[in-house]
Amino acid sequence: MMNKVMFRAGQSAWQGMLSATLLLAYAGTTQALPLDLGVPDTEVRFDNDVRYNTGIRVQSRNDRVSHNVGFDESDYSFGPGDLVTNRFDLLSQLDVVYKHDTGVRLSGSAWYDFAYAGKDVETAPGNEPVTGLPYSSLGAYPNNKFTSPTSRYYKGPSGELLDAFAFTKLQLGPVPVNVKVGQFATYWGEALFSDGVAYAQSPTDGRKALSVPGTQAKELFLPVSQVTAQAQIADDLSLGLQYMLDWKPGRAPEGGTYLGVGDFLFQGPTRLTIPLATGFAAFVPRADSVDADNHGSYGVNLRWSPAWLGGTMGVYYRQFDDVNPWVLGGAPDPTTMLPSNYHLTYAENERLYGFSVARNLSGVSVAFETTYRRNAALNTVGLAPLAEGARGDLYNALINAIAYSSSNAIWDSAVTSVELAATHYAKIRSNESVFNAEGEACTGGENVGCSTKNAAAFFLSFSPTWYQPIAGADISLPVVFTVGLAGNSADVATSMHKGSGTYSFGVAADVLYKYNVNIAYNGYFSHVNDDGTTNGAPLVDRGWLSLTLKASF
Amino acid sequence: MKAKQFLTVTALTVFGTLSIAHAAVSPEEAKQLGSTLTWFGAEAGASADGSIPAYTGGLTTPPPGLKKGSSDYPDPYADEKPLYTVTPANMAQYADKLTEGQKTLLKKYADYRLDIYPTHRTFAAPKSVQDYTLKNATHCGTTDGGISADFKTCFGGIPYPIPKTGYEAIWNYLMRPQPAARRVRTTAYVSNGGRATLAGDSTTQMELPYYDPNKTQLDSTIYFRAKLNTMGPPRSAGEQLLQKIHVNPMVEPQQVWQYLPGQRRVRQAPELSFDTPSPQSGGLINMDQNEVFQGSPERYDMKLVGRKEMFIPANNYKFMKDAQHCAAANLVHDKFLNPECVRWELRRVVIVDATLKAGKRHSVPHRVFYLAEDGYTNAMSDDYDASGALYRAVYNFFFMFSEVPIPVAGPYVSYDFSKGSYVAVGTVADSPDFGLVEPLQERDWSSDALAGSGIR
Repeated sequence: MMNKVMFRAGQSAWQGMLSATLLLAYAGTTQALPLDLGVPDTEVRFDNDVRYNTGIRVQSRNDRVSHNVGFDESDYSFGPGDLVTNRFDLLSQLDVVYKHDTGVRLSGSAWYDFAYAGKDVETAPGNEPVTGLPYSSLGAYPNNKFTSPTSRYYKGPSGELLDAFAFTKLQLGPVPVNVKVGQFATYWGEALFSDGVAYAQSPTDGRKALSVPGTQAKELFLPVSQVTAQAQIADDLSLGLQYMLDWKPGRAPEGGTYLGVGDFLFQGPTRLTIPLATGFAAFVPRADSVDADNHGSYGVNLRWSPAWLGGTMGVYYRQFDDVNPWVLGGAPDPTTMLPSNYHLTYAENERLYGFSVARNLSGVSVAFETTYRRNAALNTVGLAPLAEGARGDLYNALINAIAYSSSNAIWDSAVTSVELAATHYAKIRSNESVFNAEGEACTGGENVGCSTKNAAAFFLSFSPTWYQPIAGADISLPVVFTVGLAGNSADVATSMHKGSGTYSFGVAADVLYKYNVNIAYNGYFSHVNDDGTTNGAPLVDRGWLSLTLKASF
Repeated sequence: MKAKQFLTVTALTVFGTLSIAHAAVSPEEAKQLGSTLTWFGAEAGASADGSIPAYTGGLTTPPPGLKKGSSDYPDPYADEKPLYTVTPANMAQYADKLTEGQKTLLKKYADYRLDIYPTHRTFAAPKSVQDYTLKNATHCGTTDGGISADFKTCFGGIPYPIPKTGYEAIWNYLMRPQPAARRVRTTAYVSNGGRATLAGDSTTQMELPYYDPNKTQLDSTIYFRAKLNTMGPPRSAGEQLLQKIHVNPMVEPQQVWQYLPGQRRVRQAPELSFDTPSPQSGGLINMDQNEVFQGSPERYDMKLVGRKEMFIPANNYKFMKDAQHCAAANLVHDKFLNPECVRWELRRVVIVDATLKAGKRHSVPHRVFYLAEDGYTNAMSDDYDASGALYRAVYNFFFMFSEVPIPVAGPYVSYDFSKGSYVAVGTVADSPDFGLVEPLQERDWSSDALAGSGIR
């Protein structure tokens, strides 16, 4: 048995590597394109990125986390030394531009992960202690087989259209107006790492962000159908508009996959297991998500860059539907009093008022942003049997800075980005009875995930670079570190958890401006409770070593 | 000392030493312009042996075969043969006409050479530039203790046609006559370890409000601005930059905004200046080595050494516009630019010796600049590291849009002798998009417009 498993892992690794070599070699022989269609004033660009990612789990399982029935499937998905991903991603982009400012853009991605080829859901060995039942009978997926949402995005082969929009520049009297119509992503404000003006402005692909190191921002923000316009109404005054024609939920890591944050979440798993007593477990089925509607979301901004400021300040108003869900329960069964189902529900009609200011101070790019989110979705007790979770008002503020350091005795250059973010909840507007905060519906304090009145988090990315220490390659040592400094935030996704965070460090080579090689160790930390639950992502034992090869052509 | 008196003294000290504008040359001295000196301050006469001819007004007629709207530009000197060639074997004979950088290249590479062509003093500029230059001679002052040009008093022409200091000469170079607006598709290549790699491919709209014929003085602190749209290499395609260079870099350093693909928003970049490596250059050129010198001279003492006859790139039609022979594949050789493509001429250069000011820090503490005497069209440098060793040498190139007439500089090359590598920036020989354009409307220069127009 052992040998067979090892052989399979070895074989898929080999397949992956071979294909990677072939594809990268192919990438090396093709010429970068601007295509010449022979149409005057028309420029066509077709660019492709081929990315190969593989990674090995380094850390051993934490017994408490891996024996919690809510986390065992992800924790047992891959053991120490296993390849947790062995994946190809292709990103293709096509731009057709007429006279520099009118045209269409299409982009799409495709993927396949050998690490998930023929793979079923794994569970902890042995019996679950409360019920005495085998873990294998308590899984979140039917017959412990991945369902199609999970297997589509994690295994593939599959693909999706990303951008598909048309754009032009209109001249309304003296006012130039840039217009885009179609499917794309928009992101306003100055935030680098945390939630600001752009909260829920585009759904984010949290699966890719976690599992595919090196994913670019252009793939993380999921495109949604919309119309945007930017009008330069004076030399130093810009008016921006966004009107949504569709709504899509954000994507979070699926249960049973390596970096899943709860076996029963989100779109893939079909049931939640609640251990009751010896011999008894309740299975709550997942029902269809209650999505937000496709209309009524819009935003407007006014950005002013007067010469005396030497920078830009902006005011923003947005009305939108959330992209992060509450996990709510169906009506309780009259006999067992257990929820008849659980489902993801997305809050509609949140409002955001924002202000930002950005300028350079002593050569450092500094920005401040503050928002007031009215009627925002709040952290809600799991499986609350209501149509909506708790809602209330949130104040957020962040300050960030980006600095370049020139050469010194150690490195040739370095880029540092830091962000400090804080949040405060004010008024509770509805369903306070299920507001999962200290002094409200949550008991047990911060360590079990109760939101607090205030919370703060810190984010750092630092990357020193050495130019061409090896002919043809720039080498850098990127470091990323994020941590919740105080409190647990009250937003629906609890984006800040005290003492919880991620880190990554490694070495990256940029070869001939075409190939990227990145080796990194990625780790996660959170407070772990005796029952294996964590304050923050339950990934404390999921440290892994990743290798990314990327070719652009 | 009474408080009021103290304040007055303090105010006098502050304004007196820091920002009182210093006057230019006397009307008497300015009379040399147009007689012994050309209107732009070069020596009007020929050199002693005649190898540098007298200035006769420059090249002001369109080259035969110029097609309007075409990005091809015919070489009026296509049929010329080199007068002689400087090679490693005969370099000693020309030692006094070679920069240390040229000598080092000749010593290092047996097949390096300089083809020396007849000197054609082609520089010319529109009448308005001449008139403003003459006005600047007696009006254009300096500020910041002579380090900065005082742009309340200078406009539209060479600021100091009779430079008295190294700073004034450097400002002449920074503010050299150029088209008020142009658009150009350029590429950049890094040759490292004997392999030339495409590091950048972009289309740039460049404007100099300082030379805008529709203005009579600068209406903002911006004298140069550029909007750059990256077409390649593929992984960078879609990135955009907006750059604004201010008249007083000591007070307002240049500003750069970056458009971030995928987020479709713009953020001002942290300051990139002085000895910070220029992005995408493989670390082979610093920000203030771009175009030989760019940015603030504040960290250097700049001494005006004088004029000298030397070999300098000139009339580089072939390098810049001969797609058949000097497109990138043929131009960017492993160790140096294809000598076949580089035209050198014997010209007088204005030499400025820059040494690090006490208490300042810079990875290139000593630089010698060789500025083309005619119109400051282009320049060369020898850049030394802290140990006194020659670290880098930078050259830039120009040719004349003679139908305007206005010189266009563009490509420049930096040889890094510590690494044996070089970077060639702004190469255009096969550029499909190259020429003079109308200035963009003011509103198109906002950073938000950059975000609005971003595609990727």
